[in-house]
Amino acid sequence: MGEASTSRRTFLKFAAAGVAAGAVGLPLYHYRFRSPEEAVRVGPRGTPPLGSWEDLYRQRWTWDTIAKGSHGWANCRSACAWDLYVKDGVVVREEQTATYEQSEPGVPDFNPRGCQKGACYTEVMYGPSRTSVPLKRVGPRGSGQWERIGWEQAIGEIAEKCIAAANRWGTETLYQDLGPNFDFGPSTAGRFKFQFMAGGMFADNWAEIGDLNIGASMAMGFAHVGGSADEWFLSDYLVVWMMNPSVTQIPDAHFLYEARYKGSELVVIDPVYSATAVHADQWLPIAVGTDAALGLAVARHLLDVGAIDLPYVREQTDLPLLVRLDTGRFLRGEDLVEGGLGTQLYMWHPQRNAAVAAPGCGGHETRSLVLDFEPPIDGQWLVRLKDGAEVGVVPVGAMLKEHLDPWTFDYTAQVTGLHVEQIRRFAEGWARAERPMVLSSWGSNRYMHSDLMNRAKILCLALKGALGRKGAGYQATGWVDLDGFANAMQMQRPGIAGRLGALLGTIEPAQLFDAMLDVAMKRKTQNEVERMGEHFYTKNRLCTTDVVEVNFTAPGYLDALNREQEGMSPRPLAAYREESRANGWGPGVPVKAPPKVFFSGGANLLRRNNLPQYLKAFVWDDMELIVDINPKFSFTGTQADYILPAAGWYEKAGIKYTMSYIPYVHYCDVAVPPLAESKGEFEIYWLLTREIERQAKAMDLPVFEGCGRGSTDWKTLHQRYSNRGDLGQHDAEKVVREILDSSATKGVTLEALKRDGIARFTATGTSVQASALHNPDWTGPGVLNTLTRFTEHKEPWPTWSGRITSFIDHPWFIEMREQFPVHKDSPKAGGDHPFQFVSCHARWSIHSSWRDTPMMLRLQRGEPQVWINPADGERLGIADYAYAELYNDYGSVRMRVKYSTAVRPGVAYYHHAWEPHQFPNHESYKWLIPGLVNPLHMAGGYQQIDHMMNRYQPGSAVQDTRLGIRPWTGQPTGAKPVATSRSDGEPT
Amino acid sequence: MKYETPAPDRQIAMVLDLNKCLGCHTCTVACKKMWNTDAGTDYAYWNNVETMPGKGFPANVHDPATAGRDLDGTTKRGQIPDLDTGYGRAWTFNHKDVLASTGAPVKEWLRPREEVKWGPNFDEDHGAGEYPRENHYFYLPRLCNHCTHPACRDACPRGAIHKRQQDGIVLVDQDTCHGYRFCVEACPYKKVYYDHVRQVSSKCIFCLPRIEEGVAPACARQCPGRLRFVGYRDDPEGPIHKLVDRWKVAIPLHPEYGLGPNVFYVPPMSPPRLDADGRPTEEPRIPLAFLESLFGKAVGPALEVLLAERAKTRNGGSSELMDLLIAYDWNQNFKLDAHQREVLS
Repeated sequence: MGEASTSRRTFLKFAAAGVAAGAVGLPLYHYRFRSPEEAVRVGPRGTPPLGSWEDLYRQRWTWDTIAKGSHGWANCRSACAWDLYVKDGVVVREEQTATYEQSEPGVPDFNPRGCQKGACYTEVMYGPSRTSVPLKRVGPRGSGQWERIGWEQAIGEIAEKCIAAANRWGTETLYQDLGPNFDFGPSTAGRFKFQFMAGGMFADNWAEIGDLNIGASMAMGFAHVGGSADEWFLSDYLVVWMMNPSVTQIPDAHFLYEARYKGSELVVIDPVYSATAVHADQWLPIAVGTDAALGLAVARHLLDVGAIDLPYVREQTDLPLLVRLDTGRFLRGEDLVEGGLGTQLYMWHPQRNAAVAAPGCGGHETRSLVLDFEPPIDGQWLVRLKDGAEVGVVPVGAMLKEHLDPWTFDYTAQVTGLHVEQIRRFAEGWARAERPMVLSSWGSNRYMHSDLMNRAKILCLALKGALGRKGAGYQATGWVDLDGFANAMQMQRPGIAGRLGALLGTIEPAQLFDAMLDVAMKRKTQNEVERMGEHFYTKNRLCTTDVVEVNFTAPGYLDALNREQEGMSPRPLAAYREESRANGWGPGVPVKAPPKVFFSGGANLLRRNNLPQYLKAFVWDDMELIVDINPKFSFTGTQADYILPAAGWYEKAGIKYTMSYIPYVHYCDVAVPPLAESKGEFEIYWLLTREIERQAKAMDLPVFEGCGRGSTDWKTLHQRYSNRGDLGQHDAEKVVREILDSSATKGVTLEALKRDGIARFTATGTSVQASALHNPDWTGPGVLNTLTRFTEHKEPWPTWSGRITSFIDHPWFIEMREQFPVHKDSPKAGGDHPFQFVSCHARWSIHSSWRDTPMMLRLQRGEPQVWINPADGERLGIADYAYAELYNDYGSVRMRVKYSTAVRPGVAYYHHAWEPHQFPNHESYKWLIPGLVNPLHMAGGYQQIDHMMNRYQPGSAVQDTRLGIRPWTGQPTGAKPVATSRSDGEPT
Repeated sequence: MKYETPAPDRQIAMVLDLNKCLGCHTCTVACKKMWNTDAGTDYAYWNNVETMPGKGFPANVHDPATAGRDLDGTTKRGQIPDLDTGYGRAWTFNHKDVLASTGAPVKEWLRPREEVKWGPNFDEDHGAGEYPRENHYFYLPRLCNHCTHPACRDACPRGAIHKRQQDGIVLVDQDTCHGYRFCVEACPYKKVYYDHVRQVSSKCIFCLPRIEEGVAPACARQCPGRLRFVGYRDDPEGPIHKLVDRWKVAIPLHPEYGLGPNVFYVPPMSPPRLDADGRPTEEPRIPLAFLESLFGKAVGPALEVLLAERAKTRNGGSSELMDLLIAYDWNQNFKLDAHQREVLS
């Protein structure tokens, strides 16, 4: 790669002179011109002579340099290109570059992507909660007593404690969670690389934060599905179903309203008259948590009037697959012939009048869904089993029809609270639509039964043949994969040797050979082999788990949930977990002990976890070392032992999330050096691995076993982290080059990204998520549509049946009666109280980032607030803006009430992610939210139903929480203490 | 009475399509970061976004009692909004006490130090009407209207306010102004703000340094909802002329005061209201009478044009108006005549 071109960089030093710099006491600043040409191109724009008072205004629009940037670590589902205006060594403001092109003629362009948060990250960067120097706790955890220390001391002590914990408890007790604030740049690659190479435990939190679309995983085999946002524009029937793009997808929302001008119909289904609903053609004010019922009514209507795409349904869905009437399970090869496969399913062949093996399913030799006959989706026949017995069989379609039969418009109206005419109008819209599209956000996964809701939506789309058709389908956020990122965090040597080593680390040579042979012989598809590799890697090489599983390692935490969920399922929650572990379905990590060392990086676990008082009592207080590496004081940081100041997002090289919404890679350049004493994460872990290696060598530390998935020698930790010395302390940009060596960024150079900030992806990528976009043909030009791997290339779907799945005959699903999507009432969590406590992603923050930024707080009343309907407020005698006490079985918290006519009576609605220290007692509403765990999400052994990072894992549902609201007149509020047997424990 | 003053050579103007507004306030923040981060104007929002129906910002701005004009356009005394109950002062926060405490036993929590009485978005999403039959709201972004007959200019005894000759931007001369605040009182839109540190009044300058280089104002160019159009009123090929004069779908706010605002709005459509049983009707949720209280009688016909053109595309046809509002090539939303259209190219 072009090392020569960067060697021309010139570094200039300036003394800090800006007001902002003075306010935070900055040391000397330096910043760079990237090349002589560019210096001419982007500025500086000097101060005009002050000839008149207008020139004072002109003076404010001046700068020294412009860097290209984005908000690398912001955990928002998008990416936007920004110009960062630097003056006197300070980033003074940011403005969108707005240089995106139209994807294809006839669709609007993406300009000028951005939002109010992005437009003021500088307020966070130089804001009052910015960390700037390493801190060490000197009082008890959470006491707020800190001592300023140097980096050398911090790294030395942390390394020592890591070694002590690993020695005593095993390396897997070194704990990190996914983030969820992270980027795809060197900072994250460094963070993950440290964790993996040290043999630490890495916990996914996608479901724990309530964002993982398990319903999509059940139905299609992957959770992250969706194309570019301009694909929305091509739909003729846009159904925004549990999403609020005006608030949570600000850069993309315009495509909806523009599609409307183009003639599309826009329907919004939401108990709240949301900022998206105000622009709808139909708003369906649905009763909370009844969305599955509405979906079932639509599916019934589509089947009733025959508004389905029958050839598609036969080929792509499980509707023609045969089910035994005697067992209620699929007819399998093992039922019919001796030695038959349990993974071979059957369809009815009308001409042969016999059950024939369905192509493309797990046990079939062909890897194609193509049919040479037309299997019926209705009917009933007899088949003879291998033991000679005759049993009745029906296709899934016939059972589905019967299953949907109760869901008339009238009955659905009773359940959903909608008028029959509203449901009819909605369902008829579906029947008419040529390209129906459902937008379902990450926030659609926060009910105990969200999976059923999303399965119901996907069922409607499947019946219409919409999944995998351009301008139609399911939009729930896809990712473009950067295989270079996977390399960057796995390789242990530079260059091709390192990349090969990373590959061989994920798959054994014999397996690799077999896999290549399988693909050549067409016994497996390329994608199936990739998925096998991913499966092998995550189950056999990495110590991966999920945050719920980690919490459950503390018996006290599990007990609390077990009590809460009593009676919600046929067996107690703990019994399902026990069986899951016994069957090897769960991650099985941690093996030896609960976490002892926690590195919080871009995460805010104590802020976001439900029942943090239990987490604190049963997990947190038992940990021996807690380090928060963060550019911001977070609640988690204030409860940690060390706070290490991370560089801000304009101060380190980064790559923003690679969401498919915007099919461009977004580079975050170093606009200014790290503020004060802060450092980028790549450098922090570089220093830490060096120190750990030094101490390990000095004490001749033995090789650790890890969690049984490969040993780790800490005496070579830094050698491996630094690719045998190839990566220096300040070589983050070298890592960027490695990351850009990805199939999705062919030909994209660091130099070009520094110049332009963005580059269009050249493919949907491979590896990290096993190509969840499933469009192998897309090479950059045109709208990025998805799932054509199945609908056009006819490869099997990554599900148990190889098809879009409506019917699941896993024993647990049968036990729960969830073989088909059904409606189940939202269980009452936290006790039987009159209000349902419904959250949404925030408008004024990206989770807890920007949550305490004055510029944002001034636009939302300054304090945490719960939104209720004015009628409820008046009934309760609580005025707008007054404090109220929110209570349930876990105690109470105090929040300000906000009136809104948009909120459904009986709903207490809140924008999430307030920091606990924004509440009296430092207890947020999270202290009242048990976070229900759906036992089915611990099921396994059924292809797509199998614990996997980013795809399938137990979560923590918040929307089922109930509470009461009463006026606050000065009475004490607080969560109930957690009973522990510990003498030193200090329950909150 | 109106002063006869020489008309500017050209008039710059803006159209905002309320059917695309997200209520995200990126415009507000873009403007604030650019112009009003200093102590004296920290409470001021040259650009703000209101939830309508509502009290607006400053509170009661849409109440004729606060305006310096009667409903027939005759001059009267207006009101100066109170810093706390009208605007809401820029609250300061106690981060240091909360985050870097010295371990005091009492937990101080993060909150405004000042008593909160109103703010720039205090009635966010409040709206009006009974749920779910007729509850409604919409977003109304507001900035200085750069009126053809500015009430602020008429009210200034110092003669400190003028319309710029080349583009009609209304400016408060920061050298001449003595901070009497007659302009603050007179403006029915309450878009002149008193800088209580420098003790002069200031207001939206339509991002004049940017306009001079052909770059649209920050509020418009940074709007992710893509709802703003900027250009000159006399340019027949520009978006303003097309939307205001040719299609007549963009209309000014509070035309009753007779000031000739040069900021125009495409009025909001809304989903159908439900009848007493919850059945969808043909009536929009936002009552026409309410829209008329903001935009006058022209709002009905403007909505009719909008709905008629949308009916064409709903039926598979095409519409030049719909294509214009879609803004396929967003850069075309801005038609300024200077040499540079974009910041960097």
